[in-house]
This record gives sequence, structure tokens and C-alpha cells, in this order.
Amino acid sequence: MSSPAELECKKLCVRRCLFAVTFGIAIQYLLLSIFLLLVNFSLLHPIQWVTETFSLVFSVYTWLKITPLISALVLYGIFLGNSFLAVPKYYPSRFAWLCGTFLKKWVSFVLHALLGFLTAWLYAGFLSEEYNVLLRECYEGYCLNERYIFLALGGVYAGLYYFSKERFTGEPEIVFPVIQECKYVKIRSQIYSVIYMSLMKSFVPVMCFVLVYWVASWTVTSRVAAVFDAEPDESFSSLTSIMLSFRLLLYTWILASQILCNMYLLYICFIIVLTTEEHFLIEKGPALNRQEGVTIVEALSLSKVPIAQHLASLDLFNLATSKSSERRQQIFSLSVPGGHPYNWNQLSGQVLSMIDAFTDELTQSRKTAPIQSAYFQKKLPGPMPPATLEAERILIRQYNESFGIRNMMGSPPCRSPPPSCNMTSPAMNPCDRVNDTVEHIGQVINDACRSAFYNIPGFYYLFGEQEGAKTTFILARSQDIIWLTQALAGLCAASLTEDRFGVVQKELPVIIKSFLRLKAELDQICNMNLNGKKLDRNCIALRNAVKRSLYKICTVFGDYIGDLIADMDELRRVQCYVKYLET
Amino acid sequence: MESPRGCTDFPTPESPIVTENGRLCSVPVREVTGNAYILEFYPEINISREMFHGSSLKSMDDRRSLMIPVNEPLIKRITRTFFEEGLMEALEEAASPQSSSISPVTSSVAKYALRLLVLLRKLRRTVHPHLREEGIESIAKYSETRDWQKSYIRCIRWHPNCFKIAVASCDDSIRVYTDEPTVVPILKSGTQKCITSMAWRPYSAAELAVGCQVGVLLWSMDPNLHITRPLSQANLLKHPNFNPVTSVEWSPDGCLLATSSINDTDILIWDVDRCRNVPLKRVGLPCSFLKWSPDGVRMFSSTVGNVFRVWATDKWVPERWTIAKGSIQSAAWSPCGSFLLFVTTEEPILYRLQFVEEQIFTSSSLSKQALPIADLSKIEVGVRTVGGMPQSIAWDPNGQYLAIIFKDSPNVVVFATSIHKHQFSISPSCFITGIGVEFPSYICFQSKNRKNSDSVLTIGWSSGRAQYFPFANM
Repeated sequence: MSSPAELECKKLCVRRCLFAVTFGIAIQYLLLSIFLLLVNFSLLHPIQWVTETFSLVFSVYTWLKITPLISALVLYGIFLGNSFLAVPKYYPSRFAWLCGTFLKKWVSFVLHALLGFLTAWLYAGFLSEEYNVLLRECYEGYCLNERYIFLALGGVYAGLYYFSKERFTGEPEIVFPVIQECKYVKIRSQIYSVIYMSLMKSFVPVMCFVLVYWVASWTVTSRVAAVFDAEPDESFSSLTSIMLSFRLLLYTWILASQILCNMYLLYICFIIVLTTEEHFLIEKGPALNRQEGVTIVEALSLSKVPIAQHLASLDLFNLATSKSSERRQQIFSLSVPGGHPYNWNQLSGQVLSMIDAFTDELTQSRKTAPIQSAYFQKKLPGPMPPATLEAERILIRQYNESFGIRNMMGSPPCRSPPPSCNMTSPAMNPCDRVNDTVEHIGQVINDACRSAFYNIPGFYYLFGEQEGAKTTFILARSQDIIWLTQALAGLCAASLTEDRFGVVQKELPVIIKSFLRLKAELDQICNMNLNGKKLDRNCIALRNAVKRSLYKICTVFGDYIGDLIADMDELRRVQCYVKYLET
Repeated sequence: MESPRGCTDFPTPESPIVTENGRLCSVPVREVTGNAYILEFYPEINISREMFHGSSLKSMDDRRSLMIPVNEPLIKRITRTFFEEGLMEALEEAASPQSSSISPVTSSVAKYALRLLVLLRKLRRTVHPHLREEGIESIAKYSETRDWQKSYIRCIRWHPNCFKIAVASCDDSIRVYTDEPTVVPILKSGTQKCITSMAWRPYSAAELAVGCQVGVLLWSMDPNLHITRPLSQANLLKHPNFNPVTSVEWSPDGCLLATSSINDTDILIWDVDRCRNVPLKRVGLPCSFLKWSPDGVRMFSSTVGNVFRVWATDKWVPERWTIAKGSIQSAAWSPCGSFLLFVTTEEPILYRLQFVEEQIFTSSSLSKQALPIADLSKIEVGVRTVGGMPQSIAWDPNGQYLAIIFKDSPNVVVFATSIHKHQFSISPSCFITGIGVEFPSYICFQSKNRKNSDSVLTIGWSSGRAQYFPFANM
């Protein structure tokens, strides 16, 4: 059962999604107006052109005709909102991804095609008779209107083009903007660029569609004609005839760009709306005078509503770095009655647990060798010592040999113990020894089978897990940790002047320790080859954020750092930050 | 009372002049020669002795004077000119009388093409009037560095958190000095041309953003490596049509980098770690330079015209301000972020803007005014000329001293300032002169940090010498 905080956060998300869908519907009218202005352009009667277009847009006919498209758009909005709010899942292999997302992708495919078709159907209705009917009267009955079919298929094609380009491989992902501008400023600035970009982006796909249509037109038109018992149209049987119908091509281009624009804008609007800042409570107050709402700690603990976690992290970051100390004072205050630093303890505990859990997850992902690396490790002779070390070893051996010095230390300890020199106790039970041997043989057979399996062409591509894929997946969702580390550092830095009761002081060593552990882990990961990439921007961003946080704490508490940290190793590492020597 | 360390005849601040009553503070008349003060541990900097070669901006004529002219076929000459100097020059070469005598057809075709290009350029300038001054000259015009084009020292920046100074010189290299003067790392790159501005990233050991002709270069140095050249190359942050970058400024928490270019109306805000940027779009003139307030709440941006903006960084909403004529030459924030001082290109007046968040009983019309607070007009003090049209201003991180350099007088003027509970006062203090005919090219104050709480003015002189001028509480 959902907690009240979870319900409250879900309500917030639904409200925001509703706003995005409403905006999407408004966009339909805007795009339709642009389309009508373009297609009804009249140089000689400009006033008539504008008035007629807008009277058409606001007519009952248009409102009725646009209803199916808006219904499809609402469905699409629900689907998109659901994808945005879902907890991201990790799929280790392509096959797992295919199985896990098949249904969702299929629904998405259908929705995109439907939206494309309905847009084309709506827009074609506003064109001249040549383009707005499927069947037209001809010699002895009805003939198919190929122009209409061309436009309708063009719409479906544009919808599917967007699907294949943007939505097929990647899941909808919330990327927070670099800076928080006003919602309407962001939407306004995006509208211009998206309309322009869609016009540019749709030109080549429309040309490709012409080619595809030319190849497949006969099959399509004959089947549609059979369904409607009409004569197939052969006016577009040659490529030249299609290319020469400029007006049709122009309409298709504008239509395709409108469909792309529509989908991009809806997606952008969802992101803008969902990433708008939200102010959470610090505390709800005493039982008698309890405030309604969700606290930052509650929102941070909602792992099933990731957007709430993101917004709470952002809010905490903003309050920690803000000039106004009003909300920070609430964090540093003591509870009444009781006089305990309840707010700070709750907050620091929650944030530290999230950071530590993230670090553990990263360590786990780094240590868990993917299947293929076990296979490749068999091929490699093991870690090679550096050439300089090897050369030094040879030199020492030659020197010893030439001077007759024997090595009394025996053979050096092996770098990686071979399976034969297992650390088995001499008094091992024969039964255990047999079990061990059987287990070892089983392992060898298992590895051999896996190697053989992955050697079959295409199998590794489908079933294998990329090296560092899990780590990359975790790092891609590190924005919360970036904000939380900096927020905690900001609160610690502010505590020197604002924390009257010294509530932060107790937690400082734990915070520094947690940050140092995360930094050490990230140092190792940033040197790894993640998912075939040498540089992972998320890793760099997180590492720099943790570094900045440590620098901030050490800059403020530089003079007292020796009193705060007892562990010598930690103190040595922290001193590098105090002296600004850590990179 | 405050005075420079070791200076016995340092003038007492003259009677503080209240600006609201209409009387302006004038330039100080007491001279101080600060050359005698040598600060321990501060590195000695003299760029003229360390330069690799001359300025990259030296004209092609210098190189030509070294070559002996040879007779080349016309096609070869045009092709060479095209690759060496560009299309316009190649066309001019082809249209020259010398070429017309060899090939009249080529010459006349080139003449028409040249006319067409000139016409197109004129048309472009009509549509975008701000692009009238292109290239290096326009950088120099809007730079806070005096005689930017020829100055040995183009920019000096202190690290906000530790003892580290970056000095950009006209040989397109940056030298990084620390309090251990054994090794001076030199940052040099093929893409690093015409350095206009620099900024150390706060809360990082050694990350330096450099604004130059092609974009922003981001250097990351390892402070533990004592070598002259850094191991890694700089990362280049580029954006279409966003060059030359004339100003780079980090947010005080080191998260965001703001950049401006005199060829673009947008200001770009970068998330450097992820290489993402977002433009702050405003219709109008291109932005010339930026200043982030020390508390991070506001950002000042000036345009190449008479408009400047102050952005509130919580929602990035700007306040638009206009000045009567000219453009903003230089500006400086007070340490508390409540006051902004600025000077314009057309008047020898120092202006003040106040940003107080919770002002009670204040009429809105009063708070929306920039008050003139000091008259910087040129005066004669003995044989010295003090004041004039201001070039750059710098305010010390303690809020006690304000230094100003001028376009046409060879000294640094220092005012004493104080801020008490939204009250600002300014009084003339002294002026600093250099050695011989040298004049100040660039000024800045050392950052206030854990190890340093003094006010140390750093002056980059035209001779390539950097001077530290300490102020200390007495």
C-alpha cells in the first residue's frame, strides 16, 4: 500500500503530466494554424487569407474533426507520462532488453503510426478536393485518389520515422536543464527552434518516402482498391510523375515536419514540466499544527517515484547553496519538545544512506565481472608487470647470478594463485576434497560451455553483457547524488556560521568518510573502459561534484580538520584537499 | 584607518563624500610609489623576459619583410594568397593593376566578384549593425585590458581558494605561478590564440577556463606534478558562431561557466563536466563581458551598446538597464553582492547600482537609478596626470579599496570604500605610479581565502612586470 507521501508525489506527477498533455493539445491548434496559413497562402488577398484561416481554425467543423487526433494524443500523453515516471530498469543483454520492452515498444509503434495517420487525415481535410478524399468518381464508378493515399501514408511514415529515430532504442529519460529558467520562457524558446529543426529534419526522410512509395505503391494501391472495390489510380506509377507533383511534395513535407514538431514539442514539454523545481517541506511541524505536504526526507526515500527523488535532491541543493538561510535554519534547529536535532539527523541519515548505497552499487557493479570478461580472461595470460619492473627484475637476477648470490627468499609469492596452489588446509577431509574437485570440474565445464556458446557468431551480441554496462547504467542515474553531495557540503559549509547548536559537527567525519569512499570508487571507475567508451561524462560530472564538495568542506573547516578526523589515512587524504593538491 | 604596509606617508582618506547630496568624489592627489614593497613568497613576474616570441597578432607585413620577393605566375600568386590570407585578399590580388596587365579577363572577373562580396558584407552589416567591427580590433575595444593588442600582460587571475596566479601574455601562453617558484607551468596550445579572459574554477585544484578566439579552452593541471608543460591537452568548448569568446566567468560554487562573445547576442551557460550548454536568449546587441556576483545571486552582463543586464540567477530573469551613451567599459561587484560599480566608455564618472533585497520604505523609482559617485576627470598633480577615461576597475574582496586604471593616464587610482548596512561610502585614497614610462595594463586583487585575508592589488604594467601592492590593516 502506498504511503501518504508517495500518493502526494504521484498526484504531483499526474498534475504535471496533465499540464503537459494540455499543452500538447494547444500545440495542435498552433500547428494547424501554421499549416493552414502556409497552404492557403494568398499574396493578393492577405487580409482575407488571415481571416479565413483563423475562422476555419475556430470553426465547429475543425473542433469536431480534431477530436480523434486529440484522443490519440491523450493516449500518447498517458503512455509517455507513464514511461517518464517509471523506475528505470537495467537490461544486461540485448535479448533481455528485447523481451522486457517488446510490448511497450509495440504499443509505442502503434501510437506513433496512429498519431501520424490522424494528423495526415486531419490536415488533408483542409486541402483542396484533389487531396482530401480517398475515392473520387471516375468513368464507371469510383477510383482511388492516390494523392490522398500518398499523404496518409506520408503521415504514418513521419510518425514511424520519429519512433525509429528517437523512441526505438532509448527510453524516455528525464534530463534536468543546466539552469532553472521560467517554464514559459523555456517552452517559448523551444518552440522556435523545434519548428525550424523539424522542417530541416523532415526534408530528407520525405525524399526517402517518395522512393519507398514509388517502389511499393502498386502493391498498396491495388490492395486498398480491392478493399473499397474501386479502380486503382495509376497516376503515380513513375518516379518522375511523383517528383513533378510539387504541390503534393510540398504538402507532404509540411505535414511530416508538423508531425515531427508535434512529437518533439510534446516530449520537450513533458521534460520541462516534470523538471520544474518543487519546494518540499523541511518539517511538518507539531502534531496539532501539522502542515500538509511532503518533506524532503520523505520525497528522497521514495525509490518507486524517481521524479520525486530528483526534485527533492534539486530542492535540497538549491536550499543549501541559496543566499537566504531561512530554510537552512529549519534544518539546523532543534525539535520542540525534546531539543533534539531531529531534522538534521533525519536528513543527513537519508542522504548518507543514499550516497553509501550508490557507492556500494558502483563497487558491486565494478567487481561483478561480466560474463564475457571471464571468457576473455582465459585468453589473456594474466596481468603483465610493467616493462620497467620486468627489466629491473632481470637486471637484479643477472647481478645476483654473476656475483653468485643465491635467493634465500624462495620463489616470490605468485601474483594470482593458480588453481593448483589452492589454500587448502593439510588436514582436509577426503570427502571435501572430492567435492572441491567436482565443483572445480563443474566450473571448468561451465566456463567452457559459455565460451563455446559465445563463440557462435551473433550470440554474444544478443545474449552477452557489455563490459561496464551496469556501471554506465548506474552512473547515468547519478544526478541525484551530484546534487546531494553538493547539498550536504553546502549545508556543512553554512553550518560554521548558521548552526547555533552545532548539530552538523557530529556528522562531519561520517560525511567526509562517505565522500572519500565515493571519490575513491569513482577514481577507479573513471580509469575503466565503460561500455566501450573511454570517457563517461556522467562519471566525470559526479567525480568533479564529489571533489568540489570535499574541497568546500575542507576549505571551510581547514583549520579544524585535525580535530575532526581521527583516522590517519583519512586525515592524510583530506589534507590534500585542504592544501588544494587533490585532482 | 588603513594604509599600505610600509608606507609611512600614506595619505589618510580624504573627507568622505556623500554622493546622494550631489557632490561627487574626485580622484586622489597623493602619490604612492609601491615599487619598494617586496612581498615574501610572492613570485616575481616579468613577462617581457619570459616571452617565447612576439604577439601572434603581428601583421603579416613583419613576415613579408623577412622574405625576398620572387616572380611568380599569376595563378600561383592568387592561389598562395588565398591559402595564406583568405578569399578577399586573393581577389584583391587578382584585381590588382599588376595582374590586369597579365590577364585582363581574370582581373575583371575578380573585380566583379570583389564588388559582389563587398556588397554582401555591407548588406550583412546593415542587418547586423553590431558586426561592423570584426576581428581583433573589436576585442581590444571591449576589453578591460589597456592596449590589449600590444600589451605584454593580457589578463591576470588569482585562484579564488589558494595561492595561484595565472598570467596570460600576448604570446598566447599562460604562466601559472604559485608560492613555490621552482617550476612555472606554461599552458600553450595551437588553438589558444588571442586570450581575452581567464577564470579559475572555484573549489578545484587547478582547472582554468580560458576565453580565446576559437572558444573556451579548459585546462586541468595536476598540482602534484612539478613540470613546465601539463600532461593533458586542454578541452575545447565550442559553439557555432560563438567566437571570439570575450568573457568567461565561473559561478562562485564552481558548477556553471558563463561565457559571452561579441559576435553573439546569447550568453552561454555551460555545464562543463557534461559539455552541455544553455543559451540565455535576448534580442538585441551582443554581450561583451560578464561578472558574477561573489554571492552567486546575480550576474552582470554588458552589451556592446548602451544596454546592460543584471540577471537574478535563481530563475535567470534579467533586469534591463540602459546608459545615456557609449557602453559599459568595466564593472565590479561588492563582496556582499549588494552593490555594483561600473564605468562607461564615454564619461569619466564612476556609477553605483544598489541591489538590496529587503528594503522597507524605499520608493521603487529611487532603487532603479544608477548613482554617479565619483568624478574621474583628468587632473594635473605636479608633473603627473591623474584620472581620465576609465579602462578598468577592481574592487578588493574585503570591500575596502577600489582600484581604477585609465585609458590615457599612466597610474592606478585607489579609492577607499566601505559598506555598512546597505550604506556605501567612497573617498579618494592615493594613486600608484610605475617606473619610467610604463602604464598599467591590467589590475586585479588577490582573492581572499583561508591563508590570505589581506588586500593585495596586482598590477600588470605595460613593461610586462607584475607588481603586488599590499594593503594591511593598521
